[in-house]
Amino acid sequence: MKNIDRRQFIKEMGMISGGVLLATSPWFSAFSDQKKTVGSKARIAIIGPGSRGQLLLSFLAKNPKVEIVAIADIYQPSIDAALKIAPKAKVYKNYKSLLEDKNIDAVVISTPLDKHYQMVMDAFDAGKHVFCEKSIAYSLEHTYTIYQKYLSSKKIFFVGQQRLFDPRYIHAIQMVHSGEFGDISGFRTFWHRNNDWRRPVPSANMDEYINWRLYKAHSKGIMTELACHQLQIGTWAMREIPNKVMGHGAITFWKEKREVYDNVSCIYVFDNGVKMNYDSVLSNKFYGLEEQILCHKGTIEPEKSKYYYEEIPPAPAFLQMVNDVENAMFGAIPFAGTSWVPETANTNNGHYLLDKKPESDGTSLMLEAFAEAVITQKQPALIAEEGYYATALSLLGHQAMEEERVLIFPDEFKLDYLNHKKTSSKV
Amino acid sequence: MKDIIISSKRIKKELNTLIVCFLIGFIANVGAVFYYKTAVSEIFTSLHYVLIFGAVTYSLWSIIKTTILLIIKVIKKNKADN
Repeated sequence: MKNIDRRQFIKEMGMISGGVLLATSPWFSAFSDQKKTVGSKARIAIIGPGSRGQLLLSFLAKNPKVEIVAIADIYQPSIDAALKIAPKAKVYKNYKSLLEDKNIDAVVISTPLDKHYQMVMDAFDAGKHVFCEKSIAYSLEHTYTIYQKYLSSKKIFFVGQQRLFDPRYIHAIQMVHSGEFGDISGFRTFWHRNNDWRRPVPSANMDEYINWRLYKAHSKGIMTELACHQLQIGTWAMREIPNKVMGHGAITFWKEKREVYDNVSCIYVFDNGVKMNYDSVLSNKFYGLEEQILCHKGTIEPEKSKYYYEEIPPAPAFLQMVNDVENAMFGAIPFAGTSWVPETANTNNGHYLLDKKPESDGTSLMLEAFAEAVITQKQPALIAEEGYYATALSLLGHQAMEEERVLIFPDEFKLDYLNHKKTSSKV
Repeated sequence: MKDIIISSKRIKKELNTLIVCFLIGFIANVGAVFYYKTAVSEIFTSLHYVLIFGAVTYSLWSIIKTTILLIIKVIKKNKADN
């Protein structure tokens, strides 16, 4: 399988001609002026160049339309690693000082979840465009306030939902929206790992700083770090926000120095009764991660880049005949009808979504779109809203598990988006 | 060691048998295509199955024929001895 690069992808998907790509993924409008922006540069700084931040930095450093102006972090090993990628970047120990730098157009925020709110708000106040890693914030209130701040600031706002730019997912959603697979019957999303998420720390007092994902004060664990990506596939495919969620979470295996769940299961319910299941266990990785879109006529697994039709083409007539003759001569006499046959899983090998393997999971393309948007100062359609609801749903799922009750999406946190209509102001 | 001589008549007969086996398979395939309502192109795309069927049928026929001939030979020998 050959690789597919960004230019080839956009061209092949009909972006330039405003084709089907924009209908499914309107945020690709970020690239509509890409010829006009040649020679221009987006001056970007990164706050929190840790492991994820360094990955983002490595993509930004390769983009000729980006100048990495500065970095801010309080952890020296992260600063040293970031400087290897962007040696000319100015170093700040305090992000507020960085935000005062007038040579910076935009900031990429890749810090622990609980730090996002203040940093994003300060960045908008400082007149910067913002790319915020998912999830947007630690609470629904903060997420909603950030969204309102983005609207009033008139600045660019991206959330790190890279699947929105992943060719496999885009193609999958296009196929769903085209009706190729009939009605959507449900979603099975899961992300299983077999490790404790713990990273080595230089000293015990650094544990909460390095392993912030394991502490309730800094993160909501699986839901905000993993589920956030996957729940978004459901709303993208359904073009609808689920309004009900229930679930259960527990610490079942990794019990040492962990405050967040290592075993979660949530059910999100759309208005028509279609359900999106989300499961994650951190002590078994056999099934890995996937977002299975279950339709009446087929199933799609975008992560595997495959789809499967429900009806498998029949075997050649000659083989059917041999099989029937064999059954007539040697077959057992049925005594309970066909319903007795165990309905084991379908084993068909399916088809690949794309002829070529994408170069990345969408992260580099998403950052290129951000740089384009910063240069043109045009916010791509719906990308902020998709990010908002991905965060909101993951937080709501976490809340449902914490409170052990069924939650309805609160009216005060609804946007005018898809099936949601703003009915009251925030309380 | 005794030479085995296969006459041209015998070769022709065996070839005819092989062709008949293949034809049975071919006709069965055509019938199956219409019976199971699959694509007509299968008449040609399934030829490899037909060839295998022909070879297997010929082999089975050969085994049956050899067995019958051996039985007849044994019976005849017994009668001659008596």
